[in-house]
Amino acid sequence: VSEDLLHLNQGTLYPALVRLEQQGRIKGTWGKTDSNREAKFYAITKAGERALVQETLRWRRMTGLVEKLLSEGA
Amino acid sequence: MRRLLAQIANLFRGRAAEREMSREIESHLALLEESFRTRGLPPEEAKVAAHRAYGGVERAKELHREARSLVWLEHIAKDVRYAVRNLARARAFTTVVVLTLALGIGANTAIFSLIDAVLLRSLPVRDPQKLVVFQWTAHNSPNTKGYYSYMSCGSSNAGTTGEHGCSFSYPMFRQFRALQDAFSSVTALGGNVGLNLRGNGPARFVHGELVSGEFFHTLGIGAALGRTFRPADDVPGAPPVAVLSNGFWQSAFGGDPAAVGRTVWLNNVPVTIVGVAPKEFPSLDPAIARPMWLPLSLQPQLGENLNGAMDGDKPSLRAGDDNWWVYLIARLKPEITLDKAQAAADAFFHNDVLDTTKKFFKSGDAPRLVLIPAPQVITGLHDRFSTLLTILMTAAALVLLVACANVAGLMLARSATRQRELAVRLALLPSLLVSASRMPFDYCEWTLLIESSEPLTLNGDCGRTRRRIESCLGLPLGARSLSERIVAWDEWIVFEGATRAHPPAKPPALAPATWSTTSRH
Repeated sequence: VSEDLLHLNQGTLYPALVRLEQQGRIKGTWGKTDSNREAKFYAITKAGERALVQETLRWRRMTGLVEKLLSEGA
Repeated sequence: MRRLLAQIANLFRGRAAEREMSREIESHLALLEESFRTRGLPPEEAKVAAHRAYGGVERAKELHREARSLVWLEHIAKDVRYAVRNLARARAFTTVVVLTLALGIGANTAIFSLIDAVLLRSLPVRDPQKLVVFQWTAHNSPNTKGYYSYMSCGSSNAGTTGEHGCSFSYPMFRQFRALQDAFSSVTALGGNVGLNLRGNGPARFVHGELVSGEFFHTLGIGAALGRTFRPADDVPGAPPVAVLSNGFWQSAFGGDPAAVGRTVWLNNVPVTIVGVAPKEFPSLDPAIARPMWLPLSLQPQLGENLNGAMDGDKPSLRAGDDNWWVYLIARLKPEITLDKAQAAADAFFHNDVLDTTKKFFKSGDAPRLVLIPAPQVITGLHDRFSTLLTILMTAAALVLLVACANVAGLMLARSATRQRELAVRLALLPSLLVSASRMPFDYCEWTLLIESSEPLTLNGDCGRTRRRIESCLGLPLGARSLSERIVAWDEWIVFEGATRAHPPAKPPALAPATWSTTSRH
């Protein structure tokens, strides 16, 4: 998704997943992949969707503000 | 909040959570490896590539652990385990340290509990601050036929120069008792009478404290067994009764409940034991335990052999108001302040002692009656033992200090012998110098590796060790690297010149230097 602008080791995802799951925003279940391998699938929950809307709004507001500040300063 | 609950829950299901995590990571790695293989990499390289894309496995695990649980709590537990392990390994050292500290702390605890009981606790009565002792002050002593004193009276509170005392006549007590506006109850203590006790085994000599019938009621002391005195016990001609102290009941009557109701002979007077005082009340002044209490009304029958300072006529219930001998204690009414009670009592006292027919004081003597809170006056234990206890406490504190110094010395000596061990630890994990004992990540793997007591070689089939090393490094070891020597150094294992078959493209989470540079040379 990030088109390599952001490069993270995949292992660093785990803490975020754990936090999100503990906050009840995602739910993980064990399942099988297409190649019949065992894997854990994470899906967003209702509460997660609500949180996403809210957090997106907050993020937009924040970046918008920063953007405004920067462009006015220039 | 919800997260905190989940974290606490994870504290208790550490193993299950750990398994779940490992399973998840393994499946993740397998998926990555598969995707690399489908892109055409040979299996061995696909594995390395998968690890590379994933990053340090142990680092990821550690981050996972931190997020999932209260990691600091787990670290504390690990520290404790580590400490216990170390102490168990050095038995002699541990024994010496524990004994030294036990001695120091024990001595301090013992002395302090003494100080607490003797110097800091108040009188062993209910609500001691409401209890007052009567004291007279004047420029000259009263003009009486007999004056007797036996309990501590404190210093003069009036600020005048001259005399003071805490003894009054029995008629005066009766009049103070009638001042019901100020006091809820007044009691008189008549001193200690020597008694010949018969009727309970061999005859023996004991002391009994003569008190008025209101004594226990005024102090707010109930009976541990039987009953205490009633005012009706303290009238002339009442059946003679006695209340035993708990200590005397135990020592002389073996704590037998049947002692209550028994009749014993005191100076040839048959006296019935009606009750036993509670253990918490050895006497009003905890410095002097009393064997028993007797009503004042028995004084004419029991005799006039009171212990105390006597001047003139012997104290006697039969004497008039010119024989001052009873010690007065009153309990203030809850709503009455000390000043108000004192004003009332002083007014009465002033009139009484300056009465022209009695002439105890001349008007120039400025006689006054002062009420002093009882804890300030009855300080027998305090006076007797405060110097001694202060010295003892200082000595005990010094013992603790010496004990601490000894332990510090032992620790120092021990750390000198641990130099090698620490050197190994530091060499293996230089980046984790902060806490050589508790490695923030890869903890289990590293300590297992280091603390194993048998010498290890990885030449043969050492699958478990190998897997551990691999998992620590975050990438697989090639077959060649396992031929490197591992030597045992004391009980610690040092890796010498281990090399990796596949240097990672970028450093794994654990700095490679920690792996390769250790050497005993």
